[in-house]
Amino acid sequence: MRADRALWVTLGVLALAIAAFALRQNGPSASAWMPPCQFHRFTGLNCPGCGMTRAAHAALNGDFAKAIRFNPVGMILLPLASLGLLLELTGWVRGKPLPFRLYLGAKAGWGFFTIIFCFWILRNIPVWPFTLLSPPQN
Amino acid sequence: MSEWYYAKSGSQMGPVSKEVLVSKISSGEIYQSDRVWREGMADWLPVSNVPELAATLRASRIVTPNTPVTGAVPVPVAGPGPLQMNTGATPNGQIPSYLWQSIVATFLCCLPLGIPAIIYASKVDSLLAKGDAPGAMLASKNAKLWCYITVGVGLLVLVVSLILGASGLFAAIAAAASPQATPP
Repeated sequence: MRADRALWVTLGVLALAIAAFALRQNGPSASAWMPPCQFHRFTGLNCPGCGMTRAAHAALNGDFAKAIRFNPVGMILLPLASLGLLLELTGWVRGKPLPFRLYLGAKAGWGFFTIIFCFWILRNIPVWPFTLLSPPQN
Repeated sequence: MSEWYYAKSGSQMGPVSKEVLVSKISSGEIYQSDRVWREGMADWLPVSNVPELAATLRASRIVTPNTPVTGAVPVPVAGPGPLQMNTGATPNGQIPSYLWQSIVATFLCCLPLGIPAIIYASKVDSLLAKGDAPGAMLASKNAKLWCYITVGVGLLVLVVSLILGASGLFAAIAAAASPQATPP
């Protein structure tokens, strides 16, 4: 158990919880303090993470169908990766890795990369059905 | 002088010089069973299985008591201490891949900068599977670096937005604290 590491993780979780609560109450479009994607702002293109704030807002309010609509890949990969990160953080705070970790094999990383990269390309094609992958303008 | 890396609590540490490494082993900070690696070694090995370290350690054990404060007669320590043999160990997990970190950073920070982090993270595990520990080590370092860049730029954007939209922030907090409040 490392006290300094525990403190950092606690602070991080606390900051995320506050942000999640504010996001749940306000929604992303209402607040000037939740920055829109800078990549989208300067290029007009969607990045793999575009729509995540709106998706998180929908998910935090229980509307998972809408959340998936805003960013389908992110809504699946972010919870999965968060679980993997949580296990590693626990080991890090403990000062000793946990006996189990979320390890999906050497090829999993390339799989995730391919999915995210293809998703990035496909969601920028302005033709149906690819438009289903881009976050709807509202 | 070659630079040594060592694995402690599942994360890679170093590089340190051989002298520093040996002193860490002598002081008990690094155990005999902890794995170490330097350029030129095919794989990570427990300290006890690296001949050049074992020799230096034996020497240092005789040398260390030779600097007595009270002037007592140095007592040479005979032979190496009890070595923890760690056989059949795989280096898997000793070199962090930062895969989950990269994916979380990519989606949370909403930046394409996370993509290189994911590429390097994937390289770590596939290079390790091939037995290329030095390559995996380098990829691990790069994955970590790109994770930091992604999170750093993400935070920078957030801070700049906070400064530009400070009034919006206070309004948001006020609204969050009292969701039922209706404007007059």
